[in-house]
Amino acid sequence: MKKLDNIILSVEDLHVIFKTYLGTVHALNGVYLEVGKGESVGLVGETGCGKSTLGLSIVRLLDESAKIVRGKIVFNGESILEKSSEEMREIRRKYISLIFQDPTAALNPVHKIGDQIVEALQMSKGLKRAEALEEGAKILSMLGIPDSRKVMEQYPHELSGGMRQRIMIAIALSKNPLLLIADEPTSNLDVTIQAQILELISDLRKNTQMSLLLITHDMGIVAQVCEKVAVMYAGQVIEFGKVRDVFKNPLHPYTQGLLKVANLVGEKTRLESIPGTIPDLRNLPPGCLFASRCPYSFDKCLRIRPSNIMLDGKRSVACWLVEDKVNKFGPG
Amino acid sequence: MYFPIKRGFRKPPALLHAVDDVSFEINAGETLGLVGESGSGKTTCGKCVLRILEPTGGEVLFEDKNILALDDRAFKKIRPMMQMVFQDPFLSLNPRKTLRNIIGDPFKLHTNLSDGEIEKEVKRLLVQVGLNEAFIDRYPHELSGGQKQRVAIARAVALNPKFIFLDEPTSSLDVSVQAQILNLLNDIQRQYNIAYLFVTHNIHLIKFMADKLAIMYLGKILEYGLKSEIFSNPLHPYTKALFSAAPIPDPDLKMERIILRGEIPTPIDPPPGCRFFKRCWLGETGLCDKVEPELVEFSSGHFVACHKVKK
Repeated sequence: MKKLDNIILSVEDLHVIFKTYLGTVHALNGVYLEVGKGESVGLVGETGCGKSTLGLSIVRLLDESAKIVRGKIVFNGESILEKSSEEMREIRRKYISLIFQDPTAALNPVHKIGDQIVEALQMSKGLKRAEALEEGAKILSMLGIPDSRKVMEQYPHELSGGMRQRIMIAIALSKNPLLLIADEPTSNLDVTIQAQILELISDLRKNTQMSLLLITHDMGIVAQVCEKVAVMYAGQVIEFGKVRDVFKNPLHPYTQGLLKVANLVGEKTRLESIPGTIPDLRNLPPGCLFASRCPYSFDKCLRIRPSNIMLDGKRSVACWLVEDKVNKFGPG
Repeated sequence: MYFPIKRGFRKPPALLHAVDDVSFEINAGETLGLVGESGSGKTTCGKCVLRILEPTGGEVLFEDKNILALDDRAFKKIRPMMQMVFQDPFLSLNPRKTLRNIIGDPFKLHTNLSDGEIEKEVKRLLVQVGLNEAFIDRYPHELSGGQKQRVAIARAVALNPKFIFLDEPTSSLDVSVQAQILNLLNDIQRQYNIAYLFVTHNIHLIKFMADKLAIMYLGKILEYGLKSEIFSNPLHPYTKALFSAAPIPDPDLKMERIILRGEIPTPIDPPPGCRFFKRCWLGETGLCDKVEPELVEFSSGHFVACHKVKK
């Protein structure tokens, strides 16, 4: 076991299902994840791989149709899954912030920006209204919003998408959270605005001791912003490690495929693609969930599902190919 | 293309300058990539070319004929030659029709084929776009996003068009599926020598797809030319910023990132001068905010609209 006091968030063997009228959807199938204090971790994967479900599980904001079957989530030394909903509210109020993809949906359209920031500050820090207004204006100007007093008097619809996302970030950061979960914070925005927002998040992280879990489908964003990366596929983290290690030497065939596909850079006549599609999450095969699309799969892959194998304590991969290598040559 | 915006009773409507004085040409078998951010007028531009929108002024020449001047009957003959693939295959396929009808309808409208012949054609198209004949009686909801986009492509190529307007055809798809669709589009282009107008905001993608590029900003083309030329030597400050803003999946590559200040201004009654002036770091007060730069030829086939770019 590693020293736990450096870890702000750990997820162990988390299973989540959704009950739908079409059957039970196995959204998360044994997720392992660790976020260190002050660390930024990118969570990447394609649509439906469970990235957002994982993010919502951590703050216990899952839909009623979802059920956490088993697993452990430990945040700041405390087990999240044993908390009462009142205690959870306290945690969300003070320690964990969330930013969602669509700031338009996340901001209340009938309240002024200022009121929404003030409310967040009053809830988390117990400030008086006047103090909260002062503090809110300070945060907004820190985020590069010109004329922050005026913006606080405006309603969300009067602002552009990039501006609204900045307001969301302001609200999320107003309480100096220990952990920020950002779920696709820039995928609604244009690239030049995206560059601004990512720069902003990176800068803020350097100046505070905040940890970041950045959920995205864009490998480029992870390479730019994060220190570690967790690659998800069909409800499992199939590869986890330092960004540089994973990007330069991906071990899981899915990560290899994903990186090849993401590398559109350069003159090529034909693009690499990963054949096939993700398995039906209602009827999971017994073996590796990637086996049907994997160019290297062998009979063991179809029978037994690989779990995460730790390599030299820093990196983990869920793949039999890697395990066989480790057995032969030892870890690392 | 200007859109009137009602401002209330008795006030004259404001004009939204969606696309302003834009010119380009595409040869057979060639792809022009139209790149720009949301609201820059890329889609409007394509819709004008197809005459889905009637432009306020200008000409669209298709095989030397100005299609904007044709009456409805004459234009109907041209329509099968010019097709479109939309961004969202979930919305562009009729959920109540089977693929037999979705792909077969163009034949019913524009040819005299019998039902049996149409079925043969539909099956041929399904196979060509990488599906199989068994899909013919399925409904769109039974397909994945990538499969739906394949159907949309099959419908677009059904009548052997010479031009297809591709409006962000892969931006609603996952990267691994995106690559499959792009490969398919390239195969089809090579086989039939179709001209593509490819609209996207994804720089990496356009690098792979396009032969020529047009960079749009607020309804104007700021830079235009051969892709290889623009990528190796981007001239306009906006083009440079756009290229540097796109994240590259390589942790070792630390690019000199140009972070633009501010956001795209509103295209309603735009101010005089360069449209990029407010965000430009080279802008010269008195020149750039007063005089609109013309699109001039910088080197052979490479056009740029900027006062600050000198030979």
